[in-house]
Amino acid sequence: MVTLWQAKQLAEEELLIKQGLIGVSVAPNGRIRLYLESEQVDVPQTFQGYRVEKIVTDKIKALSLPQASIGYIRGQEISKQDRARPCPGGMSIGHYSITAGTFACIVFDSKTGEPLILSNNHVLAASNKGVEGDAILQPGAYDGGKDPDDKIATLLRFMELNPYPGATNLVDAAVARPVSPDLVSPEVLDIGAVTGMEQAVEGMKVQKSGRTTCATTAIVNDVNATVKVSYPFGDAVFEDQVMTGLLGQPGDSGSCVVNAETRKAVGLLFAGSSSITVLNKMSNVCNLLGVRFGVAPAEMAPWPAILALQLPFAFGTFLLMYGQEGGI
Amino acid sequence: MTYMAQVTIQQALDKAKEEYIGVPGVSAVSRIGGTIVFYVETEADKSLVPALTFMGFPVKIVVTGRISPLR
Repeated sequence: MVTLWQAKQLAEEELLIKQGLIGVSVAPNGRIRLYLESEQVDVPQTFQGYRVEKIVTDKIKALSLPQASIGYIRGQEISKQDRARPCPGGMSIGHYSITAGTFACIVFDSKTGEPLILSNNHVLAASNKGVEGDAILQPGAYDGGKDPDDKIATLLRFMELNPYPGATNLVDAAVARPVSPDLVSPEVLDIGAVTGMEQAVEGMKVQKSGRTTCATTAIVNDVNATVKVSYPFGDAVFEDQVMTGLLGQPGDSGSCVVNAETRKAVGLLFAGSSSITVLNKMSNVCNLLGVRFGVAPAEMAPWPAILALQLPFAFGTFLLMYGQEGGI
Repeated sequence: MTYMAQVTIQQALDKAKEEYIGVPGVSAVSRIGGTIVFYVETEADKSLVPALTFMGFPVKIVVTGRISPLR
């Protein structure tokens, strides 16, 4: 039998997609608590062996996944739970069967050069449950994304998550192939274009743009950690991880973390607690997934594409290559 | 006179990971410089790991809370 907290995580994965079910929690009496929009929502009496407690509410604080935040790109405001085409990194995204995570950024296939959407396995591949070709929604299902209307990509490949005890892991990472390259933007909200990577070092100030907490910064505390992460399927151990101060909350998984000074990618945010955040090293992510950073091809439009289209070609091209980065 | 076998910090780290990462309440094991770092979920879990030294190297204990995927 799974633990109560594992049952809660399973409930988040399996039940939150249900229309009218707006939150999952653990009640002090050891029950799974489900927050419903109305009495009419049909939910089970028990879940994973635990009794279910139903609460009808519309309070935002009851949500297990916090509300998405606002981000900025080229001075323009955009809600991270909105549908955006072309979609920049930092926005809500997810495999059709999960709640929502964060679209990290665009990377390029090392062999073919095609642009791909980067995020976590547990965001794009539903923690090993996904198969190649599965629909990826933007925004994620928790933020209202529906298949096929909001399908932005299909799952391409992922690094399998190995439970503990057993093989250890280096990354929780996956890539998806956009339905069309012009549906995605090479930029990341609040950060701008990320065209390279570097190694994190202790004391480095890093920044991310995530679906829930938007633009945040933290200091790298550790670059050599072996970390045990509690997944719904059980624990998984990750080696060679970066640990920072608090950088994200639920929904920020998949965020691209950059050196706050150079804007080069150092990590892929995937786990954390109430006081720390854990990142896969971006070098491991790229090596294992067979992807690289680079300059976007011409067919990928920056956000908002209309800005460039309204300008003379030469000036538009200048903006594409050297345009100002979004502020924090 | 007692002679201790020379143990490197990497060997100590490998041993610490082997012995402690599977212990419920221990969330991570690492090294920062010449110090072995144990990350634990609660204040009470500090008792699960060595308090001062491990294989001759100084120990630091950090309380993190439970680490989960942030989706």
